[in-house]
Amino acid sequence: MNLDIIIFFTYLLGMLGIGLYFTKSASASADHYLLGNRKIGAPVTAISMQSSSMSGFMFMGGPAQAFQEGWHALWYAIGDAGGSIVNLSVLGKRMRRLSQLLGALSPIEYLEKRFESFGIRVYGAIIAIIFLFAYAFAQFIAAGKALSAMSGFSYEWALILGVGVIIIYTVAGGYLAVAVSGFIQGIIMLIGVTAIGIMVLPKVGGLSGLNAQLAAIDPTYLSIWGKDLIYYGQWGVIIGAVLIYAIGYMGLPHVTVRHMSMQSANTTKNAIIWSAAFNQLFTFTPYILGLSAIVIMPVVSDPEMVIPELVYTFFPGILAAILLSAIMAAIMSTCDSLLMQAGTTLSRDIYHRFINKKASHKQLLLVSRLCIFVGGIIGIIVATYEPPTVFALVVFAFGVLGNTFLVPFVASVYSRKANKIGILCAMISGSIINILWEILALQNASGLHPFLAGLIASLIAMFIGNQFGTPPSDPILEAYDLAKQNKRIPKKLEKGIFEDLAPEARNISKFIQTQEDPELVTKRKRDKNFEIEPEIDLRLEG
Amino acid sequence: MSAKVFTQPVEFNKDQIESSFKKLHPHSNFIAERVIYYPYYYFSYNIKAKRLFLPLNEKVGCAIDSISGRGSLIDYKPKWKELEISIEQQMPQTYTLKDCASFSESFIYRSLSLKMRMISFKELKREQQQIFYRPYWVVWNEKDGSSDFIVDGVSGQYHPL
Repeated sequence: MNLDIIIFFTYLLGMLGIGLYFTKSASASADHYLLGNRKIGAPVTAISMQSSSMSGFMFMGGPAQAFQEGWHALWYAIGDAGGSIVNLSVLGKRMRRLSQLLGALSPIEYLEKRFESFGIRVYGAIIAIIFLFAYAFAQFIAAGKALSAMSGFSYEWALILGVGVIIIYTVAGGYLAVAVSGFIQGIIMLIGVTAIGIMVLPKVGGLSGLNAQLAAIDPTYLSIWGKDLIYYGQWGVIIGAVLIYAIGYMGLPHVTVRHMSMQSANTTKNAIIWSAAFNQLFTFTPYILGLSAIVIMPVVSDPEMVIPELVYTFFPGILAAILLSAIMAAIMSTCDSLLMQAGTTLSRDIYHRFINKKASHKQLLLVSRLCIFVGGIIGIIVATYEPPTVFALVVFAFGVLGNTFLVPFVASVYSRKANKIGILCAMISGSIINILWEILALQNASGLHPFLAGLIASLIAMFIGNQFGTPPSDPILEAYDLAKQNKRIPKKLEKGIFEDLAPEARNISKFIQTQEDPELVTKRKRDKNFEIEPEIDLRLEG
Repeated sequence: MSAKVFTQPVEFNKDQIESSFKKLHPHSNFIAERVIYYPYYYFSYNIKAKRLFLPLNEKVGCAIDSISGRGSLIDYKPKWKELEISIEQQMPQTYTLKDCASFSESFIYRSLSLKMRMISFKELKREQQQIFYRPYWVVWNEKDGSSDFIVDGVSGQYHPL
C-alpha cells in the first residue's frame, strides 16, 4: 500500500474522529445532528454546506469537458453559478410555504398532495430512484478514478474500494455530517482549489496568456460553439447547456425536516445566501483549470483526471494526497445524500405505499438500507463493464430529473389551472423526450440540447393535458392562494418570514375568522385605538 | 370562561413586538393586539439504536401540532407554566393524544433514520407526553391591503396571516 492511500485512510479516520468527538460532546441530545447547525454562524454553516455539495462533476466532469471542448464548456458553469440563486428566488419561498401548508414530507409527496394524484407519486418515485442512482453512479466512477490515481490500484479495484468506502460512509455518515468536519473539509478544498488556480494560472500567463496559447493550438477552443465549431449555430444546444444547471436544480428532489425553537430563534437562513456566494467562487475555477491543462499537459490519457494530474504536478506528495483525500471526501458526501434520498424514496414512496402498507418503521429502515447496498453493487457492475464519463452521466441524470420535476414544481406554485392530468403528462413527456434525445443522439440532428427538448415537450404536454383533467379541489386552491401571498409585505419584513409557521398561521387565521364578526376586522383597520389587551400576567412575563 | 393549562411563557411583550415591526417598516403601524394559545403535544422518547462505532442511547423530543398533526423537532425541552387562560384565547385541538402519539413515533423514526444513519432501532420508548399551549401574538397592520402577522411569543419568529 503506498503512502497516498495511507494518507487517504488517515484523513478519513481523522474526519471520523472529529465527528465522533463532537458527537460525544453533544450527546446530551440528538439535536446536534438534527438541528446542530443552527447554533453555528452562517458563514461556517455555508462552508460546510458547500463542501458537501461539491461532487465528482465539479472535479472531474467539468474540467474534462473544458479540456475537450474549450470555452464552450463554460456555458454549463454559467448556469451552475446562477442555479442556486434562481432556485432560491423562483421556487424556494412559495414551494416551502405550500409544502408546509399541505403537510408534505418529501417533494414527491408534495406533488401528490398538490395535484391530488396517486399516479404522480408512482411515476415521480420511479424516476427519482432510477436517476438519483444514475447520479450516484457518476460519483462512484469519479471516486474509482480518484482512488486509482492515488493508490496506483487498477480502476476496478479502486472502484470496489471507493464504493465500499462510500457505502460505509453513507451508513455511518451521521458522524461525518457534523458541521465541524464539513467545515474543515470545506476549508481544505477552498484553500486547495484556490492554490491550484494560483499556481496554474501564472504558468499559462494569466487568462490573456491562456487564451493566446489556446488560439495558437486551435482557435476554435475560444469559440462559444465548441472545439471544431461542433455546435455552430445551434442555439438550442447552448440554451440547454445554460438552463440545465440554471433551472435544473429546481427539479431535484430534496427533503426537509421542520423544526421549532424552544428559545429565542437564531436561524441560519443567511447560510443559503452565503453558500450561493461561495458557489460563485468555486464554479468557474475547475473549468479554467481544464482549459489550462490543454496548454500544460496536452496529452492526458483520461481527460477526467486533469485535476488529479494538476494536483500531483504542482503540490508535493503529502499535500497532494491530502487535497485529493478532501476531494474524495466531497465526492463521498454528495453520493451519501443521493443514496439516502433514493433509499428513503424507495422505502416510503414505493415499498410502504404499494408493497407493504403495514410495514413497521424497522422494516422501512431495513428496505432503505438494502436499497443503498443493492445500489452499490449495481453501481460497481455498471461502472466496471460500461463506464460512461462522469460528465455524460451527470448531465443525463440531472437532465432527466430536471425534465421530470421542473415544470410540475414551477406549476405547483405559479399555475392555478394546472391539474393532475397536465402534470402527469408533463412529467412523462419531459423525461421520455430527454431519454430518447440522449439514446438516439438527436442533439446533432436537431440542434436542440436534450434538456431543452425535454423542457419544451414537458411544457407543451402540460398545456394539452390541462385541458382534460378536473380542476384542483377548493382546499388545494385555498392553500395555493395562501402560499402565493397576494397581500403586500414590505421587503424587510418579508425577508424574516419563518416559513415553518405556515400551518400555524393558516389555523390561527381560521380560528380568528370563526370567532369574529368580519365587521370587527374592518373596524380594527380603521380605528387606531382599537385593541384587546392580553391578560396582564402573561404580558408581564416578557 | 377560562381554564388552567400548561403554557410556555411569553418572551416578547407587546411593546417589543410593535417596536420590532416599526424598526423593520417605519411607515406602518403594527398593533400587537392579543395573544392566542396554540395546542401542541410534547413527546419525549428514550431511543436505543445501533449504528457504527457509537450506539445511540439518548432522549429525543418532538412537538406535534395537535391541529394539523405536523411534527417538529425541538432544540430544548420546553418550560411550562400552569396558567389560567380564557377559552377565547385557546385554540381547540383537532387530534387526540392517541393520534398525536402515533404521528410523533413516525416523525421521530423518519427524522432519525434519515439524519443519524441508524442501522437498526432496538427501542423507542415514550417517556413523557404533555399537552401544552404556545403563545402567538396576532399583529394587525393598520394599512388596508397589507398583511397581518402572527408572531411566535417564544421564539419571536413571524409569519403573515
